[in-house]
Amino acid sequence: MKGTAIKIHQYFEPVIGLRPLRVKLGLGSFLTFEFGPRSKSHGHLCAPWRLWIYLSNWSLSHRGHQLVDSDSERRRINIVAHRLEEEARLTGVEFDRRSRRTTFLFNDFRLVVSPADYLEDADEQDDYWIFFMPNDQVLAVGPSGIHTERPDALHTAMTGKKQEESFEAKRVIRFED
Amino acid sequence: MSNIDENKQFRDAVREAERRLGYKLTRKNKEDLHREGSKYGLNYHGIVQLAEDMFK
Repeated sequence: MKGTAIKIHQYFEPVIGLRPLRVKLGLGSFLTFEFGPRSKSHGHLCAPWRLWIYLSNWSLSHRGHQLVDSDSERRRINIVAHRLEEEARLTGVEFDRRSRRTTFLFNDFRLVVSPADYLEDADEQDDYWIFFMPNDQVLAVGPSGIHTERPDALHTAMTGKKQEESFEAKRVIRFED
Repeated sequence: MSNIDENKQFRDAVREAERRLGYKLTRKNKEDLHREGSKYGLNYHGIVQLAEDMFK
C-alpha cells in the first residue's frame, strides 16, 4: 500500500481483550461475532462492534490443530462457535497483504480468513469480511482492497433511498496485482 | 446444499435484489438482510423477496 496504509489492527483495538458476546453461524459458512453490550438499533438488538465473515474460505484451529473450516458440517461449526463464546477473547488481528489472508486470534484459537476460491468473478462487492463499528463506521477487506466508510456515506442508503457516492467519506486502498 | 453453495446463493440473491431495486445494497443493508434471512434459513427466492420488502 502506497503511503496511506490502513492499519487494520488499529480498528480492532476497542475490542481487543473482549470475549465475543455471541458467535453465530448464519447462512452458508457466514460467521458473525458480536462485541460489546447489545442495545436496540434500527428496530433490533445489536452489538456496537460486529465482525461478519462473509465471502471467503476460513479455517479455525486451536493450538495448531484444525477444528473446522468453512466446508465443515454445520453441527460441528456450531459446537466450536459455542466454545469460542465460552473460552476466548479477541487477542489480535493480523493481515497479510500478499496472500490477502486475515488471521483473527482468540487466545489459543486462530481463525484464518482467505479469499473465496469458489467465486470466479469476484468483484468489489464480494468482501471477505466486514467489521461494523459504532457510529456506522465500516472496515471491509475484499478482492478490490481495503475499504473504510464513515456515516455520511451510508445515510442515504439507510433511509431507503438510492445510495449516493461520497468520495470524502469512503476510502479504498486497492491491492496491487 | 453445501455451505459454499449457500454462500453463492446469498450472493446471487443480493445481486438479483439489487437489479430489481435499481440500486446497490450497502454493506450494512447486506448485514441486515443476512441477519433476517438467517433467522428463517431462507432460500434464494426468499432472500430476494425479503430484500425487496426491507429496502424498497
